[in-house]
Order: sequence, then C-alpha cells, then structure tokens
Amino acid sequence: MLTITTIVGNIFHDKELMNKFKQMESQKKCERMKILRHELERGRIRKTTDLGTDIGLILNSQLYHGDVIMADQEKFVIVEQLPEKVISIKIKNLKDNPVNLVTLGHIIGNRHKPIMINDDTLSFPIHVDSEVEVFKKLFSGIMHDFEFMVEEQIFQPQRGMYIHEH
Amino acid sequence: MSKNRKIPKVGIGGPVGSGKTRLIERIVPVLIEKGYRCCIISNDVISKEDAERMQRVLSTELKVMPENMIIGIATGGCPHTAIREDPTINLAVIDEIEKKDPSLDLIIIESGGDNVMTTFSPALADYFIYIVDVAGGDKYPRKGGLGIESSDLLVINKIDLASHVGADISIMKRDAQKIREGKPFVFVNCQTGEGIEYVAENIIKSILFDKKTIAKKDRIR
Repeated sequence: MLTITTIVGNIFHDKELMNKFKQMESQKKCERMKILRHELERGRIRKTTDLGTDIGLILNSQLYHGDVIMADQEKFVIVEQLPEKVISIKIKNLKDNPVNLVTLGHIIGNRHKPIMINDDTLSFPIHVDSEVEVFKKLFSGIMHDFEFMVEEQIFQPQRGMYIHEH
Repeated sequence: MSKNRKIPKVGIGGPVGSGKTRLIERIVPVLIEKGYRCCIISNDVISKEDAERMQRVLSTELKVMPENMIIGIATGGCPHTAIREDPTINLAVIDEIEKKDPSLDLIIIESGGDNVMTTFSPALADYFIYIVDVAGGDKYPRKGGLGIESSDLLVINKIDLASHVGADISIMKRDAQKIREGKPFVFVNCQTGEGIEYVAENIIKSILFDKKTIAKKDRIR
C-alpha cells in the first residue's frame, strides 16, 4: 500500500500540473483514484486506482476533484470524483419573480439538499429516481417559471457553509 | 472548530435494538488483541445506559480497556443530529481525547438508533458501519436508505433469530448484494462471534491500514 499524507496540487488550479498531467497521460503514466463525493471529506480512506495501485490516504484537509496525490517521473495519480444524478433547474425566468425563487429555495432546503450554482442553473443531487417525481410535484406551482432537467454530473456543492443531506 | 484527523474514527449507527452496543463489545476485544488501542463514544438521547454497560463488560469483566476510555454522551435530542447535522459535541469530546491520549489507534462512535437515513458526517467518521437485525424482517435490505446503501460496511445481526422470526437470510443476501452494488456486507451473530473477525478486519484494512505487532503486555492499560 502506498501511503499519501499530502496533496501536490490541483490540475484545474495549477497550469504546470495540468501540463504535467497531459504529458503523463500521453505516456500512459497517469492513474485515476475514483471517489464518491461524500468520501472527499474523510481524513482516512483506502482506494485502488484504475491501474491497480493500492493507496491509503491520511489527510488534514478535504480532497477535491482534480487533486494530484502523487507526481513523480513514473507515476501521476489524480483524484477523479464520480458523477452522480442531479436535478438541474434553469432559473433564468425566476429572476423576475423573487417570490417563486424563495419558494424554490425553501423546497430544496426543506429536503436538506446541498446545491451547486453555475451561471443561471441550480443543481442538487438525488439518491433515487423516484425523487424526480417527488420534486416535480413539489415544484408544480412554480414549474412554468423554469426549465427542469435530470442529468449525470460531478456535483461540487457551494463552499463556505456547513451542509448535510439525507 | 477544526476537524480532527489524528486518530482514525469509525461510526456505528443503526435502529434501536439492532445490536450496536453488542457489536462494539465483540469487536473491541478482537481489535485490542491485534494491538489496537481503542476509545468508545456512545451517543444516546437522555441516558448513558449503553456506555455504562460497555464499561461493565469491557472494563470490569473483560478488563481489556480502562473505564475512562468509554464515554457516554446524552445528546438531549435525536442522537442522529449529533453525528450528522451538528457533530460539534462529538468533535469536542474527540478533541479532549486526542489531547489526553494522542497515541490511541481508534475511536469508535456509536449513535443511538434512528431511521434508515442515519449517516455520519464525513467530518466525524472516516468509516461508517450501519447495522440492522433480522428481527426487523427480511425486507430490510431492499428498503434502502442512506445507511443500507452507502455505509462502508452493512452488518446484518442476530442471524440466529432468523428462523424464529420468519426472516429468510437468502432473501436478505440477494437484496443486500443488489442494493450495495459491490460494497461489503456481513451476516453476524454476536452471541457466537460469527462474522466479528470480518468486521474487525474491514476496519483495519480500510482505515488503520497496517497490522500491529506489539507485545500483549503493552496492550492493556
């Protein structure tokens, strides 16, 4: 087992690391440690990379998608967060209707869902397909004000607030 | 409050009466025998009954760990909130434990029973065991929920009672395999010890990483 205690950096925030990643990828020396979102916050975790390296992580900070956990001449290991099913809502038309916007936030908050906002789209994860119908019913009074989509994506919740979900 | 990362932590949750306390009483001696020094935090609503029982069993009777390493927390509300929504009280106790004995190998956090959506904040536990028992019916695994689906290890306890309560173990096995999509689960009998070694080995492999080889005389303090 390879024990990792520090993060080298993140390929999405460090150009040099991104270049190194592309270079190692072309040489087939890049390995991916696939991980679920809720596992990113853990201090200790044991995983096997897609190329079979057994890794034990002992960390003082949380992991993020794109983190590089090992980078030498022969091996480049990155953290790859697994995509999950989310409901996405294009809130464009809701901007002119603050009451419905508040109602939307109230409904999502009441179900204890973390959210992600990209431009005019708000997303939150679902555990089972049946939640799609539940949310369609809950949103029925305001559905005409936004576009409702179900997608698979890497969900990265808004930072800076303590969240939980169930 | 800063997150505690120094001592590995395993969370054990599950419905009332599923056998959380008994499971801890069985796995702790196995872990101690293998050289791992443990501390236990037991969350309950208004009493410290479970902590006191573990003190009797593990400290007074088996003498495998000191009484002050088994701590009871009366959460004063639904105990699941103290492990999920706001784990501050548990993190504060862990802070104290880490200051008092930073060489401990493992902290086990038990949360009093709740529902199928019980889960541990990843800020609190590095590994999550969810336990149910056959007396709840063989429908339990297929009902799903966060604990059954996403825990690191699902323990199905009291298999010796299956025939008495009309629960079909093969149905529970089939449904657990399907709903857990490759994640481990184990059938356990806390009376005979069946499955206990598997639980201990999974904790060691997943968050303790290595095997200890210290002399037995050093283990019991």
